[in-house]
Amino acid sequence: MSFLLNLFRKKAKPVTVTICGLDKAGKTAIINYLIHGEFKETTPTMGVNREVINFPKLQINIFDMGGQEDFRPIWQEINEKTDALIYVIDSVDHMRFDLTKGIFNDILANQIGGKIPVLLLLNKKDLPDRISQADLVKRFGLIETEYEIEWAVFETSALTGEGIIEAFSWFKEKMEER
Amino acid sequence: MKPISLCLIQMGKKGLELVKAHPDVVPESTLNQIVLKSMPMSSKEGDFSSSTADKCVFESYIFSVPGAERNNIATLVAVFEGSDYKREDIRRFFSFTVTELEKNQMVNIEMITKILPHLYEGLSKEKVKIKISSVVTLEFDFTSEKKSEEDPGKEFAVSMQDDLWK
Repeated sequence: MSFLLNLFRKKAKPVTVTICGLDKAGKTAIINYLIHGEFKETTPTMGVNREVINFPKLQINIFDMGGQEDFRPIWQEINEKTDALIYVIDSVDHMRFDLTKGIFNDILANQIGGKIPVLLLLNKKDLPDRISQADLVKRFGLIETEYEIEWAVFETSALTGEGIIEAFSWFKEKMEER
Repeated sequence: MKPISLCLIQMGKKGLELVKAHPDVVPESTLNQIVLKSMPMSSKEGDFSSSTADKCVFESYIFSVPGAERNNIATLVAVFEGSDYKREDIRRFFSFTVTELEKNQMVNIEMITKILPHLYEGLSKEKVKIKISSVVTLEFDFTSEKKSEEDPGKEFAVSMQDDLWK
């Protein structure tokens, strides 16, 4: 009986996802929160880390990309093959907002192709004096974007976990639809 | 087991960067390769790796450096001209140094930069005794470490043999 059950059980669909953003944006902390359900101290990601998150119908292979300038040239090769993109923005890093916007636009223009889900996470929601969700949508020009992407913006905190489940519920739904 | 140089490398704003090389005798182009290869992709604190750069062989030990905002990663690198050294001794020595500093909340780049020449001397002489503060002294004797790792029953067996002949 179990043989027949195994035979007809639907295999989890494997998908590849990249998580990009400037250094110290909180990419690894977000992934850690998803895996462990709590905040864990992180150190800078050395190049690329790979994590696998299993859902009943979905197996997400996440490539967590180091955000330092020297590692950004590595992104292209992995982004070209990705099924979806997660882009993390440090909501209190006002100084580098234009830089992160430029890098995001470069990914859309040169690194990803087709109508893929793009999840933007405005991280560090727990801190004061941050860039708002509305401000991000406006300054990133998401409403009038020329690229065929399915995007959504969520405010998150990798420290408290706020917004992470909501964001990934949207993301998982989009991945399952594909 | 004398290395030609000891290096301290950390993750900087752009990527990996050399903090200090002691003695500063490695050619710049080789040093640049060492910096790039000192932390392999996906490496994490506690990892130990070996690689080569031009004619040099090097061993690196990756560790975490506590920071106010976020912890950083750094690596201690021993550079050799050939492979006439014991890799395991280097790993144990670096791991011991970082662990002892951690116990005393002294893992910071300034401290390691300061003691780097002493670590080099110690590694060259295979005997380390560095007074870090009034209460902390780093002491690592390569020979005694080796002795304790040898067959633990050997010394006992020798003394038994002596006794039997009496």
